Amino acid sequence: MDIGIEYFAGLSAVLFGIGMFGVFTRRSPLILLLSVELMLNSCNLALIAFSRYHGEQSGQVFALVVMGIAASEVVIGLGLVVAVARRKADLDVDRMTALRN
Amino acid sequence: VIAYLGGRADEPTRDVPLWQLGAAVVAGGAIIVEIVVAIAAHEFGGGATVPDTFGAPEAVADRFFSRYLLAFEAVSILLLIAAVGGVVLGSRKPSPRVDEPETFPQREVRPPELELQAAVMAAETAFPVRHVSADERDEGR
Repeated sequence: MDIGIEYFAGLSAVLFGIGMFGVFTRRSPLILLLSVELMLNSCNLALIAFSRYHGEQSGQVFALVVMGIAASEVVIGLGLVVAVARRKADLDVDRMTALRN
Repeated sequence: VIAYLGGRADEPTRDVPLWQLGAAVVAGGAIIVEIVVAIAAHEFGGGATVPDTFGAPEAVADRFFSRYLLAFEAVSILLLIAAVGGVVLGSRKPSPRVDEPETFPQREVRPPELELQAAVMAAETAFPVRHVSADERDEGR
């Protein structure tokens, strides 16, 4: 059974909207990272779906590149979160204003 | 990381201003509605017919190593830099907290015996004897 491209695009839009809502409202940097991941993965879903729809394999290569960028972003983001959490009591992006200490 | 941070990782949406919540709902909802409307307005066909090897690892690797070689190399370098950055961020020694001074201020070393001695000497002799600390002596020079 084939699932139409409409459903993939719709699911991708819904995931992107949820991620955007999370980025707007959450304060914890960890949850912000998760929301950004959600948006990136919704883009991945759209890329793969339209790649299949058009019969063009470049979309899959793009999705892999996006995965690599997401992985490096997570490495740096989680490192920053852990480094901040080690010396500060609260994790709040509004209060993380200093580059040192 | 969530286990390491414990309960602090999952702070609820506390004291988020109402306009921000509204803007978030509007922005997220607008994206969803826009794309759903665009999908509904467009008539999609059945899609391309693809061979069985579509998306096979061989096909993707062929693309990666020929047409998208530059992107492949760039991502590899990006991952290397990210790995180095993660190690640097993770292994740094924790610096002292902001609210604690790095070293306690040095207490002024001022032996009371010398002042007492000077007072006794002033009382025993007719001369006004006063203890002069090292700083005052250096200033006098």
